[in-house]
Amino acid sequence: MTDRFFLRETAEPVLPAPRSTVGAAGWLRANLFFSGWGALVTVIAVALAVAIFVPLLDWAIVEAHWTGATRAACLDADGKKAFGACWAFIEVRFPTLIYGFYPVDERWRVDLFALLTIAALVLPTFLKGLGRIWGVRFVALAILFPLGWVLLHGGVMGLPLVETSKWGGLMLTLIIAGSGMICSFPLGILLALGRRSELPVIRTVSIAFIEIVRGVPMVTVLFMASVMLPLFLPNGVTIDKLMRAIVGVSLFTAAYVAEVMRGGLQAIPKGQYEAAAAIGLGYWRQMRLVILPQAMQIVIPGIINTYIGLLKDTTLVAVIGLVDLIGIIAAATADPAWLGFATEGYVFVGLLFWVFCFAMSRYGLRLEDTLAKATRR
Amino acid sequence: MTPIVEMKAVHKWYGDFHVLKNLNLAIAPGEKVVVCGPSGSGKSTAIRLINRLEEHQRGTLKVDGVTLDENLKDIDAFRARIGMVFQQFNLFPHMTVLENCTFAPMWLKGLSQAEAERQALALLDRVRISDQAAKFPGQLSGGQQQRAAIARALCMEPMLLLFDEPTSALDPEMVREVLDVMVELAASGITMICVTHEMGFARQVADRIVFMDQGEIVEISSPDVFFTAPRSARAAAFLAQLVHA
Repeated sequence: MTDRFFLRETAEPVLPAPRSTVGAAGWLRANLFFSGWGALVTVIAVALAVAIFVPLLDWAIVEAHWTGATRAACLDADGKKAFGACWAFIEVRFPTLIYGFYPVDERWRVDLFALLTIAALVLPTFLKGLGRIWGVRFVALAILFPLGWVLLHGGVMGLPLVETSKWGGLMLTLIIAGSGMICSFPLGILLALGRRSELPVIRTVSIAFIEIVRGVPMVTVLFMASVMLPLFLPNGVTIDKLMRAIVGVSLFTAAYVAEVMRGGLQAIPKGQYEAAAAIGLGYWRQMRLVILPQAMQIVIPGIINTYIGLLKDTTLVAVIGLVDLIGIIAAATADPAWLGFATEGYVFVGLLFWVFCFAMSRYGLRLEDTLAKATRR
Repeated sequence: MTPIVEMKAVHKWYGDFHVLKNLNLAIAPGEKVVVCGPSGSGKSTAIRLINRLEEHQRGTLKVDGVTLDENLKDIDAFRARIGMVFQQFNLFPHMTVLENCTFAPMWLKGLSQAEAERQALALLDRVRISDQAAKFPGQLSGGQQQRAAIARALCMEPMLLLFDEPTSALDPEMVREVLDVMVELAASGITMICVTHEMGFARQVADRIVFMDQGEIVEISSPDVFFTAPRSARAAAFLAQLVHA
């Protein structure tokens, strides 16, 4: 029986945690063998992993053929296709996969542009203060891409002209995706603001654009941009096919970005709008200085998600005759000199896409982290 | 003296709901007015008419010589002359406390960063949180946040300060520090209109108490009269329900 009243006079001692909950044994127990079912699932998962990854590694690495200039490198003694991936095929085709038909002597221009882009994405991280503003990266890219057009297309300042029909492969895929991201971002923000506007005309136009574009497949938009657009232009005026593709991709993505942004805008408390208005900020300054910086942090996962979709959707430009990464590999696997290695080709292209998508995902997380540190809500 | 705020027969509806009924009130420059009343009486809506966060539908409302109606040009410049402190602080969470106080003068008045920071630090010093200037609002206690919000409301050098229940969202132990700052501000001579339930503050600071109920102004009295012998039965009933009136 305890007393009804109590006053602590000595502190309780601090005891070590039970042995079974700490160290390696504790970790195993907590994570892998926490119950009979847990143990069973662990054993099954390990068995599955072994069953899948051992043959896969065997094919992709152990038995793989890494070098060779012709198909013969990947055949066994009887002249049949050997087990094991034929990476020699990829090695031979690698330059085309990256640059398409861009002239060999001019490829340094592509490399330079790639380096500048990476610098624009990474350097702001090291700028103190500025690094926490996402807009710096965006502005750097928005300036860089038109310059990139001059650099890659040439025809001025002594740079030989390289028609966009010669662009292809990974380079083309990344240029379309990158331009699409840069153009769709501000357009998407405007559409999202338009959709929440108090002016009926602006609201209706925004909603109509978003719902129409979101309601049709990307292929349709690309066809429209490629086939229909020239019909509306006066005679003699032509827009580059690549440009048309970029316009199509940008408009399509903008509709998605707009809806993601709208979610972010709606998540900002009304008090933020009121406080910004009360201090004397007009609509655009409220948005730019107070609302969008906060909304951006919320929508980064959604935007990255949309952009990953965009990167993969660029493969559809094949239907309007642009030779992107998929186009190059399709052509390469149809080459009689290398018949039978489609698997390697598509596995490699899949891997390339995965690398870029994963990089975007990580970059997005990094950006979120930077912004979160700057806000500490 | 021309009043700084002048409401004449002001009405407001939300849809069919008549929230504000025939408000008549004139406030002189330098006056401290406390608006009180039961919740739902329209106090917050009434105070928000003054910087036009809400719009009235009938009657005339003049603030600092400006007639508030649909012909009002440059509402932003007008709002910048009025400081407002909200119940939920509404500090900008993506800016430091200092930036919360410098960004409006920099963008709207074109002050240099150095000058804006000098002014902001003086204000933060006045509300006694200059040591927190580099922190983000999320790192501060409620009382500190509200004091930062008061500094922000002062950053455009307003001639009128509106307080919308500034202590209602605070933990009890933090109310004092905010009220102390407000009492000091009142002594500086600025015009203050304050919606609050803090009757101790009202008694200490207010020149007049405006008591509202069901969208009407029921009574305007000096604190002495209001707290000792309210002239309306509704105010008497309201005061009787307050624990620490």
